[in-house]
Amino acid sequence: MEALQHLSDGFAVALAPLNLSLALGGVVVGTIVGMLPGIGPINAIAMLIPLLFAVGLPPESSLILLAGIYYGSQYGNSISTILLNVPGTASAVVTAIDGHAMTKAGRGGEALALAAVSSFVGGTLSVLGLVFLAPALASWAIRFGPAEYFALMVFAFSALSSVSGKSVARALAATGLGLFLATIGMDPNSALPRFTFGQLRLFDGLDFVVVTIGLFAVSEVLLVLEQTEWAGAAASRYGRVTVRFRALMASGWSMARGSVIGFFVGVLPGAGGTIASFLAYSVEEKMAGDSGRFGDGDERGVAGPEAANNAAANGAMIPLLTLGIPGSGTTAVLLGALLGLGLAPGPLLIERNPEVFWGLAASMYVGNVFLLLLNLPLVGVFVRVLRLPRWVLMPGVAALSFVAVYAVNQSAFDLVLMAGFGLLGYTMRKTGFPLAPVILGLVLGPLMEKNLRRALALSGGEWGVMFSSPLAVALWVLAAAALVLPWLLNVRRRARFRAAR
Amino acid sequence: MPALRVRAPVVGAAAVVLAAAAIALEATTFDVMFPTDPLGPKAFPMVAAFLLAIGGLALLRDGLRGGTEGTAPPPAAAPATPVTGARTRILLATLSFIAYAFLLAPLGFVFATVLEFALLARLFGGTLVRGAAVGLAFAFLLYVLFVYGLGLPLPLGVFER
Repeated sequence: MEALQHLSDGFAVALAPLNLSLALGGVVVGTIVGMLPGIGPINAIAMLIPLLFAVGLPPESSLILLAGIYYGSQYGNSISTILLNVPGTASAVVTAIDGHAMTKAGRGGEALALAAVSSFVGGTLSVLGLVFLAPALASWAIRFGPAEYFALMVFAFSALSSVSGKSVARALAATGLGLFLATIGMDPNSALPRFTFGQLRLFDGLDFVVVTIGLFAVSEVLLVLEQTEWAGAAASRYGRVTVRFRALMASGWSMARGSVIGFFVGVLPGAGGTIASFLAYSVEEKMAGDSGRFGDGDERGVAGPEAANNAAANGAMIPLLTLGIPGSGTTAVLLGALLGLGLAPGPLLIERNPEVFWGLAASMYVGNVFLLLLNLPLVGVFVRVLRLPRWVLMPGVAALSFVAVYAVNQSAFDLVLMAGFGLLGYTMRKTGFPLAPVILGLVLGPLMEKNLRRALALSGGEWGVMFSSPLAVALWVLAAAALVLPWLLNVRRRARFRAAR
Repeated sequence: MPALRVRAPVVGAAAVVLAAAAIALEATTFDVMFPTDPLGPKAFPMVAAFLLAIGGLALLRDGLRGGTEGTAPPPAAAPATPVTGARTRILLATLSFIAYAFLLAPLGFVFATVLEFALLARLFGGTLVRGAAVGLAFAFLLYVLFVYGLGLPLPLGVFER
């Protein structure tokens, strides 16, 4: 019952007028960026970070806003998916199958309402999980020493590498790039400048906001330049955005299952909303058996995945807040923001900054209510944003990128860096390199190096310390398994393919 | 350009391996030793270089072998039908980003942003005039928001007295 007491304190934080309006603003921005293909929550969060630093909001208020963008985007992504068959983010890809089929059958409004309700169920159920699981995980993680932390971060990287792309080699290279970028600048231990090439401007290291906006937002602008089709062209008629009570009841269990699947997949590093929604879809398909009309506009094919990707977003907050380990690109950017705000996410966060953790948890309830209330009547307004021509939207994204990057240090040099990272990000996307490991490496790199050096300093340079506790060994085994397992499966699949031929 | 298409992955993979070698080479110069820090500043860049090298070598092997499963970019990353002249537009846009960095201070935020907005709007299929009009409104809005709302300075440039 202690949790409930804390949660009611959290509501006092979340219901303060400032935090209430920030949660509302966050979920509106989140809905819009989640809906627009390409312009994801990563860009929006990265662009807001310098502004938050400038305004000097208290950490809990900043986090309420940024987290609102993150989970709000999981609502928004279903809108363009269902209406246009263009997923706003990867985690809504699977919703397209039945969601867009419903639109083609003239039931688009119903699909939108169902997606909103499912997202609400997934969002609120998983906050419940957050409230109970996070403190438990934190009190367990308090025993982590530097060696365990290092192993845990290695696990996060290998888990992300094994799921984030089809090619483990590309993911490894991307991780290496991120870790390398993290070492640029003055080494905090020895004051030795590394990879600065005598440039004073690089002594402080690369600002992760500059790198993130370059890699994600600017590269997106370049990527859209070569596409002919644009989602804004057509938004089909969708009818009234309501769903019949009976249909809701019929897919109630799908939402519940999706929420549970999504939550636990979200807690795992690397996995996240995309895998959660695909898993939920295939579970629904199997459960339905012959009664299913999957692919043909089955409600359960919308309810399950939409509940799952929202639950996954909230589940991913657990390792972020209690261990300080992000499992995806978006949570890595959130970690960067938290570190910049002077908060150190980790096992002590809940104890030391209860207003941050419980305030956030409570505000996630509030935010989900906002999202449900907004999404049902206001879908038409959001759809109008989708109709913006791209010659307005994409230069607008570019201009926002410029001011956000300039606001970090008031430096034109950062703008040049941003352009360089934009071209790099574009090239990496075109050649199939995942971008998330780069951001994860950039944010986690300094923490990893610190823990590694601390562990070895404590042991006097003896490497055995990295494997000295059963926990550390278990984490190393997990890390190795995450990396080797997909490769083994791939080899087996190829062998079977050859045998079949 | 069939020849180029075959070699492009090899060139890219070789670039990754070369970058790894350069990083490792530079890292060997980080010779500082403290008794309290047995690892020193050298080790971690070496780890990064090692990961880059492993990834790069695996891609190089696949690329030289030609057309194995791992070489082809995953379908998710495959672009929608590229338009003719896309490469020129991407080059122009990138150059304009760099030009913006250099013109921001002398021209001022509003002026530079209007120019950039108009150019990008043109590249995205709009017209220069309409792009400049939308750009002016947007730049003005951002200027007011940043300078008066958030207290973040943006250069005034030519409007400075």
